[in-house]
Amino acid sequence: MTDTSSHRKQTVRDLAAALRREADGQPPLTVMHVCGTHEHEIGRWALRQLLPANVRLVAGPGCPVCITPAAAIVTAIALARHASRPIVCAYGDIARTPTAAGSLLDARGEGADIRVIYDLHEPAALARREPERRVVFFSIGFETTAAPVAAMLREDLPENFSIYPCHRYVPTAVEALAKLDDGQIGGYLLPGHACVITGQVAYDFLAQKYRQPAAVAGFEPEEILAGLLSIARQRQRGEPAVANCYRRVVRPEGNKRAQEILFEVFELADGAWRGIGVLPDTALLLREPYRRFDATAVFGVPEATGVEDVMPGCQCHLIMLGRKRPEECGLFAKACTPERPKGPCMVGGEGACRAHFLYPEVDNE
Amino acid sequence: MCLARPFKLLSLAPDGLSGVVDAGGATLTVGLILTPEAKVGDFVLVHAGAAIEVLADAEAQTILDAFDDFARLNDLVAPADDPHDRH
Repeated sequence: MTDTSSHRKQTVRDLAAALRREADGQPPLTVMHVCGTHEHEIGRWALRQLLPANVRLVAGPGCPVCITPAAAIVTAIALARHASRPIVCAYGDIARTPTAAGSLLDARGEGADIRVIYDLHEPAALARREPERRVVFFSIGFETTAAPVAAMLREDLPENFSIYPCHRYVPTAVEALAKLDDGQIGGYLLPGHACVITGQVAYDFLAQKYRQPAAVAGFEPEEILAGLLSIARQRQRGEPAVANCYRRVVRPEGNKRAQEILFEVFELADGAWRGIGVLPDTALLLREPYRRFDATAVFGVPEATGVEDVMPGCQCHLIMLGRKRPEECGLFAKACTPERPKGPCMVGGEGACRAHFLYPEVDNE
Repeated sequence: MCLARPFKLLSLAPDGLSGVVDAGGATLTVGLILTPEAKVGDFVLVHAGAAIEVLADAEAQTILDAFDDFARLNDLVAPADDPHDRH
């Protein structure tokens, strides 16, 4: 492991040079990634500055916090305000995410019992520790989170535990994006850890049906650049495929056990994405035997409707589709900052606006 | 929320449904339902308190091992025997 740092720098330079050669003389290429962690690593390592002028890398709707509909947050707040005063557990980023009716943490300031968790097993453990209280888990995230949540729901759970799930599935969302695309996107950089569950095969439709290059990528700068290089080569050769540039972690077929459990507990249905609208077959809803855990039924709290996703002036919905850059939003870094976020993309560790706020050097356009 | 990290599995619960991993000196209990093949000593990829994959240990130990030279990485991007390959 001697001289690792300079060795890595050279690898990154070599990859960037290979990408420049591949793109040289080619038409402009816009690649969309669909992973908030990719966006943050791209910003952290200033990778956009290494790209040739004719290669653009845009952020798609890959931040699970950002795409959670405002109505779901408002429903979770309503659950927390139920007369029986349940404890509502949520990950920190979604607890801070603003809606027109405030955030879960605002509700906590008004007396609701909101607990921030880091581990999906914590809500059930809390329910066991406090049998006199009712505990609700407001569970969000893509299949990376939904699969272990499904596994947890198959185990013995205490009577005072229930869940309000708002999970979304990435492959069908990417298909919806590919279908909506008007020729702007020339390839997809696929999310490494979501692909651990589904495998690369879940994205075969990109190459087969849409003739779009794609690559599964990890989160190191070398891995992200390797994915881009693969996409550029696929396009240059006219041979779209789904390359796996994260082979040491992602199996082509994914984690079959995780897939079985995920779809034993959940089924796909049309799902709303914040500010984007309904994308077909992208929501993971509880199947019948598991609906007994559904907090909205347990508490008789209906799902909120008519909640505005887009805050006044906010451009998050366009930023999540790669149609605007965070810097093009009038609120960015002025009225909307990580300390006082106005839109969901400024809140958490995966939001594009937060990444651009933290790493302004990414802006070389 | 989708960033997972590798940890070394130190012990398994009697029912095998959870285990304890080494988190840089401290320990964490993680769910193992999705990785029933995980054995003590394996590296597991952990997300939000649950293992989602078992990793080949040598590769899990450092994220750099698989990328220790450009030739190998280039090979990952496109097979070296591809006649179109310019490198």
